[in-house]
Amino acid sequence: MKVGALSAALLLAAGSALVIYLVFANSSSPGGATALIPTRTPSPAPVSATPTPFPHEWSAALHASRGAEAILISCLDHNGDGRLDGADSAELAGLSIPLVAGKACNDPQHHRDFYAGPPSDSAAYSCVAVKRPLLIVAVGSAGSELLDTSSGESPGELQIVAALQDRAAAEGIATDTVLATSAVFGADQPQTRMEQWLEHDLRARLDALPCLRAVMIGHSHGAVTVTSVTAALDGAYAARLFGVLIDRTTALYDRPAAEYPSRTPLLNIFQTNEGWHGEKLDLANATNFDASKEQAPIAPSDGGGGPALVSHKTLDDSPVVQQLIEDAVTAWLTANP
Amino acid sequence: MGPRTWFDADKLLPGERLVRTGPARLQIAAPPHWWAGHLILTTDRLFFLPNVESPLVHDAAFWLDDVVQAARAGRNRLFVFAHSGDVTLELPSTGAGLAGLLGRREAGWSRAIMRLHRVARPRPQLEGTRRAAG
Repeated sequence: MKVGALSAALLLAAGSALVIYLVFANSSSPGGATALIPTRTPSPAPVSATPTPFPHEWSAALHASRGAEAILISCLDHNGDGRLDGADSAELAGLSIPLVAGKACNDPQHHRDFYAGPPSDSAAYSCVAVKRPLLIVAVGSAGSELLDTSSGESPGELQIVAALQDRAAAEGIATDTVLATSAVFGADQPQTRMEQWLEHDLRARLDALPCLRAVMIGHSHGAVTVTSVTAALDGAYAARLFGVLIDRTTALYDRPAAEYPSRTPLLNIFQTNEGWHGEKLDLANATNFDASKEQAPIAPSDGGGGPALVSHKTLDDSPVVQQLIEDAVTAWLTANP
Repeated sequence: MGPRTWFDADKLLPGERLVRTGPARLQIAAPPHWWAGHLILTTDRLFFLPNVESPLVHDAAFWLDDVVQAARAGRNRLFVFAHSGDVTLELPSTGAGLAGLLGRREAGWSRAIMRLHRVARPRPQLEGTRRAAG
């Protein structure tokens, strides 16, 4: 009996290894980076042995645009017909997001998937301001939860957002910030629906303020959201958009998403230290950066400590990667005043 | 459609005169809650022209004869109450000028609207013409 159980366990492990290999078999190796965006590796920054502790809620880590309340998108089904659309409210017109009975609007006291803060400076968040305002959009990895920064693996994104808020403020640029998970909790195709939700939301924000610039930053599945949304907005808004991808992967995504913008500039940062990784993008508008040699604290879910070579979970926590992104966004803002 | 940041004077009604225009934001119920455009005041009408048209932006156009009150709300914000509805507008500050810095850019608009309201042509005289810019 014991021999049988052991054999079954070994077979299961071998099967799992095969699945993981097949999932990543098509991943490309690094190299051949294009140079649309300056990608000078910043001077080595000290890597702390442990990640910076974060507040419990994502929005509490922001340096500006705090004070609003995160929402659970599926709770906006006001007429209870199991679908988010214009019949629920005018703001949802144009959307059609089917919800899963029993999963939609589940425990909203503990689950939120979307946050839109107030502008850092309401008066300056305007097209008559001296400098054009900036919208910062950050999309977390799978498993992210806006009320719990220990869920998911993207808290480093919050450091990037906070640093961008500080840099913009120092330059006299008003900002607003949107935070999102990479899934609409309780929707039929959670990741695909978040793409649709963010496209709809960003389109309204970009139309409401025709001078607005927007940078979208995503980690893992969140980076897939970024490519899909910027692809959808590329035709009308490319000149006002900038996308940052941190170890983009479609593994376990709810569809084989392969839409990319053709004009919106993309900064694609990836690592190849483990099977779960992003990959180089052969796109004319993408600048690739292989950050495999960089270091970051070991993820708490892997025991913590370090520093160690970056992994899929910790690429967003690397000081070098963070500074690279901040410098690239700053350069883009300067080039597009 | 593309941005509309100016008002075509050809669209003025016979006998109507352009009095004042300026950048403004209209408050809307849905996110992002403020929509950029221009506020136009003529001798007969007050209306908001969005820079980009959207179903989210409701019709914000009034005959001055219909206006009940244009109330200052501070922080460069203006409430317009009319028989046909009401709107909240914000007059963004460019940072230039004392009124903007003090958050009182709405004061001049409020005074001008109410002054013109008192001498505006009666609405029945304008029936059949477009209230909005067209």
